[in-house]
Amino acid sequence: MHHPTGADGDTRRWHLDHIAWDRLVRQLMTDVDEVIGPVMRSGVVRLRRLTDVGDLAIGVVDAQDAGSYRATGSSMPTRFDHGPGPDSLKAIVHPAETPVWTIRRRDGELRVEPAPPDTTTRAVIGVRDCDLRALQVLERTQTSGPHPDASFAARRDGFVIVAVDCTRPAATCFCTSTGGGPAASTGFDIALTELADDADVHYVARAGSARGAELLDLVANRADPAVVARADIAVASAADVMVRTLPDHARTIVDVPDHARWAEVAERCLACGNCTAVCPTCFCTDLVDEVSLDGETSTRRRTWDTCFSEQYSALGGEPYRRSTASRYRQWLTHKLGTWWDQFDESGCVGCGRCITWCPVGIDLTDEVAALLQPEAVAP
Amino acid sequence: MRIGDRRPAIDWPTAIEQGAPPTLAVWKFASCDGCQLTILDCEDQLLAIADRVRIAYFPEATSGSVDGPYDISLVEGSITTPGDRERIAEIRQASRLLVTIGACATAGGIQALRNGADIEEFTSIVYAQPSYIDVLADSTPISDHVTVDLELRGCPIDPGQLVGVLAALLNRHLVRPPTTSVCVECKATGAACVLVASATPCLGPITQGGCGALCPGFDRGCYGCFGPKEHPNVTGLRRQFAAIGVDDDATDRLLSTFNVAAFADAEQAGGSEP
Amino acid sequence: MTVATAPESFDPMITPVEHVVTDVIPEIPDVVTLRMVPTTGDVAPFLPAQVSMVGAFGIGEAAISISSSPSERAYHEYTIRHAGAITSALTHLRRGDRLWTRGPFGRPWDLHPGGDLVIAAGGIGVAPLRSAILHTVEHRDLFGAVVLVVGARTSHDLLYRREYEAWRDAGIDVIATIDHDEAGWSGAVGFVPTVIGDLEFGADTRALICGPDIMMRRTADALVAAGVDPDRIQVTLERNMQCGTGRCGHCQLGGMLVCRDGPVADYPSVARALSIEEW
Repeated sequence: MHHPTGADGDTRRWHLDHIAWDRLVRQLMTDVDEVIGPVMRSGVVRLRRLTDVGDLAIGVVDAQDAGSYRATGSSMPTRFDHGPGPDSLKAIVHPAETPVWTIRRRDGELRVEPAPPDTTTRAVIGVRDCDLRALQVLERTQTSGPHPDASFAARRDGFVIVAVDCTRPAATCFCTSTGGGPAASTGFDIALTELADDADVHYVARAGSARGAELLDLVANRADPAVVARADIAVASAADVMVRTLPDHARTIVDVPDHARWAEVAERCLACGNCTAVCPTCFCTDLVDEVSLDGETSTRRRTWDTCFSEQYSALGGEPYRRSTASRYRQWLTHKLGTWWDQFDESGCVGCGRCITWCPVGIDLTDEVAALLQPEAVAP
Repeated sequence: MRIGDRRPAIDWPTAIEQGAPPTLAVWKFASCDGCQLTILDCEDQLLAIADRVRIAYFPEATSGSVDGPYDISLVEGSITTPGDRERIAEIRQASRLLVTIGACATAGGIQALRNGADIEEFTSIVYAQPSYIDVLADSTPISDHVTVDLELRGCPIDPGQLVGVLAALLNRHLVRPPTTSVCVECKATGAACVLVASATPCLGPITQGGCGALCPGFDRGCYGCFGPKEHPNVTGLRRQFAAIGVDDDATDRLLSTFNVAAFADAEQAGGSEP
Repeated sequence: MTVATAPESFDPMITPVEHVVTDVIPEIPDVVTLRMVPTTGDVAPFLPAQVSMVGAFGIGEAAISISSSPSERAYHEYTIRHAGAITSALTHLRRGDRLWTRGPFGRPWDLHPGGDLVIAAGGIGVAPLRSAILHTVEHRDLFGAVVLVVGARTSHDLLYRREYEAWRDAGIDVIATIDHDEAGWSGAVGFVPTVIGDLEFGADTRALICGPDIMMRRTADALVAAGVDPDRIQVTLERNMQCGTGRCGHCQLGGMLVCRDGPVADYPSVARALSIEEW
């Protein structure tokens, strides 16, 4: 059996009962500017800023399927017994709207004031392996090469990440077929396994960084080997329950640009952009300049964009990808195929959000499977 | 860069070309005045607007008026009478830039529910002296009658969009609001998807954004007051509504509010493929 | 442009550099050339085919290639066609007006000395080639035969026509062709690929092509048919560049981020992408 470890093979484990848990969250609230974690909003588990340790969603399980999400209560006071909600780290590190600059015009001269980078420090609690890997994928798109995005880097640098191993993946999850999960693998400060028994919820923790180890030493004791073994079993069995898969050769969909499935999926696709918004790696942005009423200042914002928009590809006002089929094809072939050419990896981490949050329940794993089927030859 | 840039060259008013205050007129056709009131609701920015334009005709705000020509005309309401038809032609003639504001002006409004019905029967039921009523069979958008330079959607319009468009016009820029879905704004503002999370029928995926996902932000389904987005796949959403137990009649009623004809026309045309 | 809070290391791809328009040169209808200099600092060095994001106050930026000579250190020139809102604002600028650029960036034309050169331009596609043309004019001895084929809809759409004489004097064979014959026209008639098909090329010919996608494909095919090595054919791609740093995604063409990997590409690497509709 695979035993998850911390950084550099650190095999130390800590144990957190509810007192140690509260201590950890309060310590984080002291150490950083904002602590963010899963909370309930309008019936959905969201990543939101906590003002108190009690803000975390407690006793919530969810049922996810293509185009459907329901969160319900459970008898156990668990904190992480649900699948990923619609928010990933993207909304924090690469927000829907980022100020870029203000340009002031006086007597015809222009004066530019770049927006200062956001140096807020943030701890994020409850990050799953899909999102840990997605953060690295996203980071590569925004900071690799000669002109790294300073605003992204500043937010990323301010992170303390408390990850959670998945013991109850959603039905839409397929991370194991994209090379990750269900255990937190990389890029965390602390990783937790949640255990629930005898009406009590407790955690086995490992450290992924010196900072994580220091925090754990401060709030918790070392774990007993028996409880560590139970934690390892809980995580390992989660891998077996995932039903959806993405084949290894998914990237070859770039070779079938004329497949009839593209037009077929366009009959169902609403080109609404929900999939790109919830995708933890979809990074596309638009630059929006707005002038003030007095005509003296122009502000630039960077906002999320979507390749499902007609305007996305427009050049001189003329859209290049007019049909929904071509836009869906752009999204999927980029995500699974041409992302390799651009960033030397896949853009999909198997979180399943695009499946759950598609209003008409289009399932990327079904579409890939269909696209990889040879087409029937017309009689 | 926005869609629709490649249109006939814009006839920019001399005042805007020279950075002088252009004249602004606001006109009303069949409507509830809500969009005009939105202008007055711009409060903080209202004085800044009044500073940058010469308000020449604005029935909701002032009784004074000057004769045309006008540099910018904002037009609210739909065309419902033969008199309307003549007046909008005159307004177009007298205006360098014509901007329609609100669902009545851009899509015929809720009063277009009468389109296709028996107008004579309606008037005979409602009015004691139906012969006094001189009305067209259909309520139609301004763009059915004259060239429109820019449309601001919504019932009512979004004050932020209005101020943004006016600021841009004064900067010699005709900025066209994004044509993407309400969902884009829903996700950006962090509202929960009511369709996915509670099977609430929501027109967001086929409706043009601009409202800031106002209704989903209050856990309500979008009722489409901004009208169809580009390439709206109405049939695709109808199928999903059926899957969550909303039958075709209920869907038709949902689609037939402030932009009655627009969604039906889009579905007829077949949304997803141009 | 003064930068209120000076960043530790100034990156002209990220932070705008204010320029002032020093001359506006009318070209063909709807097209002008803006000559500009930075208000502080030196004119940035660049290589032919490189692009800058050129900004209009309150409106936005358009990706435009520098059309002046790379050896010209006194100013940059950008030839701009009025197409959308941004280019409408840019073509409306007057001498003394301020604007900004971010750049220059992008993969340039491969202009290694030696061998023959064929340069093919469709319509306004001659603008991103002008800096390469001026480079060959200035360094004519570095190349074998140099042929420039410029195609346009009508004789009135031939960009930089007044410069043909100087280019010919420098030893460039300038062939202008228009789609349909006109009264008084003595040049070639027909599309660029057709004209190319009537020419002969040496084995060491290098080709530079800029124009609409379909024109570039047909021209490249005609060159290959005429014996030019496909690996020595370069095209320059026009897609919706916004950030210029490969971060915003808009200018993707298959596996390419055009602002990061282009705009110049070896034809074989993009031939498939250009042949798939709406790819």
